[in-house]
Amino acid sequence: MDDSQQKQPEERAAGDTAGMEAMQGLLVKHRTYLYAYLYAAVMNHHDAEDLLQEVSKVVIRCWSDYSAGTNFRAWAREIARRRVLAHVRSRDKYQARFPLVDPIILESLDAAAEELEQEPDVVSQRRRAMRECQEQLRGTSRRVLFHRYAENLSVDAIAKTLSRTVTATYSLLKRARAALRRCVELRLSRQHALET
Amino acid sequence: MEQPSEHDELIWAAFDGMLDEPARREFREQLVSNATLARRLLELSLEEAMLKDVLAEAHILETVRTEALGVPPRRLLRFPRLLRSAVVPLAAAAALAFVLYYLGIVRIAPRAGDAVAEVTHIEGGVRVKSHADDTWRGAEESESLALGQTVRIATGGKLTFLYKDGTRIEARSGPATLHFQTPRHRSAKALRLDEGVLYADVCRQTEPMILSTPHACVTVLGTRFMIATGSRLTSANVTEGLVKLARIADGKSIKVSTGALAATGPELAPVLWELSPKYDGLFFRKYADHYEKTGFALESLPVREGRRLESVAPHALPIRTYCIRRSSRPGHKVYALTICLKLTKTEFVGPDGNRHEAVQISNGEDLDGVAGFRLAVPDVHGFVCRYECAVDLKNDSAFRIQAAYSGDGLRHAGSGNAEPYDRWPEKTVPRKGTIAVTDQLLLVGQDSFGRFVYERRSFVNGRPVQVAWCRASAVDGEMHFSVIVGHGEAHILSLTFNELHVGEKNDG
Repeated sequence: MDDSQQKQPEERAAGDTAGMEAMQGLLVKHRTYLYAYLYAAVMNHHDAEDLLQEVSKVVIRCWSDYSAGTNFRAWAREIARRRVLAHVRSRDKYQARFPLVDPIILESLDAAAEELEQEPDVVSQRRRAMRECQEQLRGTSRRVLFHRYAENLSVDAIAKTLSRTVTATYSLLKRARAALRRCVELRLSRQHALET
Repeated sequence: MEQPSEHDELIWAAFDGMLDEPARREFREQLVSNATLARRLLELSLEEAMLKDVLAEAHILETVRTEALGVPPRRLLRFPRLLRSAVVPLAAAAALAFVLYYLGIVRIAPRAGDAVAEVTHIEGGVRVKSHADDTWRGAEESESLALGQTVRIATGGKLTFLYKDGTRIEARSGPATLHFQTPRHRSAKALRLDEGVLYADVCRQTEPMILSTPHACVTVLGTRFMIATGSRLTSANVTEGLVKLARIADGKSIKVSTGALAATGPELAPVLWELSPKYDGLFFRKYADHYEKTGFALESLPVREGRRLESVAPHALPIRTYCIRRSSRPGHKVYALTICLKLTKTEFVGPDGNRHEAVQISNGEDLDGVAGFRLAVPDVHGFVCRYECAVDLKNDSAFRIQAAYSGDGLRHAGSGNAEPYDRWPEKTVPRKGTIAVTDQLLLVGQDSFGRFVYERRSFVNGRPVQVAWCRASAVDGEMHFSVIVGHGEAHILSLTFNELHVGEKNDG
């Protein structure tokens, strides 16, 4: 997608009430990226989901502050960064749960996110490939990934469920994840080859 | 092939809580000093987010399937560790499996590439993606469709295919994308509808057929029904039989029986509507010729002389002249009214300053009583849609008009005693025929006084739409409805008729 195409909805979005509708669209569009940023900071799916909800509320409340033509993802990410830090400051319990939350580390993540924002959006392509690949998973690989991602179980809990040691379970999880990634990469490269 | 790097191993260990305190401290330090690692962390987080979405969705499907099949969870069947390693039981099990397979008692799981259905009819652009090499090609009549294949039906295209047991699936109007998933058993069927509308006539199944969409999962044992899915909603309308509609996000489900309609989506828990009772006493003798000419009644409305009007409107109607005439018998209440809408395409300059294609609807005629109609156009984010409803009366009559807008901040307009949008009753949406309309109030922001502003978002058969609603009443007058919509092609999605109280009249 070229730059003008990217900016068009964002320029249209700001300014009047109609922009509110565009805002919803932008939030949906960039949801995965915002979630990824929050997850990178807190490394916990439950917390990342809670924070994403809060970020969405702030985006709605502060929509009038958003300047037309600017990068929505960067703007929302800044809100996300502040939310993460605000939570850490306000609640002691987060200190233990958010191992990476530190202004300096968030700066590193921001720099990386800025780089990533310059690249084409690959989420929908990759998600489709992932959906197709997960159907090919069989046996314990399938179970271990489902326990980890669909049921949000920790590696310890999965090990108990499967009656295996934690080390063996973790190895299994790594292998399953790597296999899934290989399949996704293969599909994407095939698709890319067909397109070019 | 890309192998997990050291960075990946480290990040995954952090994600999975497998780093001890010193390792975690080192990881933090590396993140600050090593930009590549920070970048990789973000990339893998993105991958995690997608993985979570995809596997959660698949997990719900699996759960629904297991529940439907009555198969106990695998862990109940787990063998002790000692037996697992035993060779003899394994050999015995293998022999037993062979015998059961030989006797036809055990079914072998199907594989990608197995042919399951045959194309019987194609119109317009229909393309098929091979499961083996991901190449796209045009579909042909009589060709086999196999597990793992994806089929894309272009806008306006049609596709009908038959499973081997006679189950018939139709995509009557594209766009639609569907994928043949690999079911657990050979006798089972699994289809995924990514977008569009499908009509299914499912023969009695020994294993439930699973029809999934991005939001929901429909379990079928044998029925006729329609399923529609859009970006935010999936709806199922059952003509005959019983299906189960489950929301993927949380597994909540409802049973949808004959004549009922249900919908669900990420922001809507499964809801069920029993459709309105059938109309009674409608006769169309006088206008039979007119229906023949328009093609509307014959194609889309099951209106025949002396028959009941069972369906008020199809999923989406093409732009042309629609005419529905009202008649009644003496002593009967009038349930429908005469309204004739003519659609003409025009262009206009929208509030955003751009030129847009518009649709004007006019030529209402010969009305007495209360007229109501609903218009909807595809929702376009960021686009200012504008609706205008107007009623001109030939004679002195009482009339009332309501109009609603969304998107540009206008709340009411028109002539007569237009009412503000926010004074509308909460339930303004009748549901009849094959139309599923759901409304949601969405918080869109705050106005200059700091008050929260809500917007009503409507979905029709799973498609988010902008809705204009016009209601008017008149006595012995002529009404002209003029509606301008903002973008693209407009469809009348339903014509809603209220009960009239105009006394006894016989047009028939």
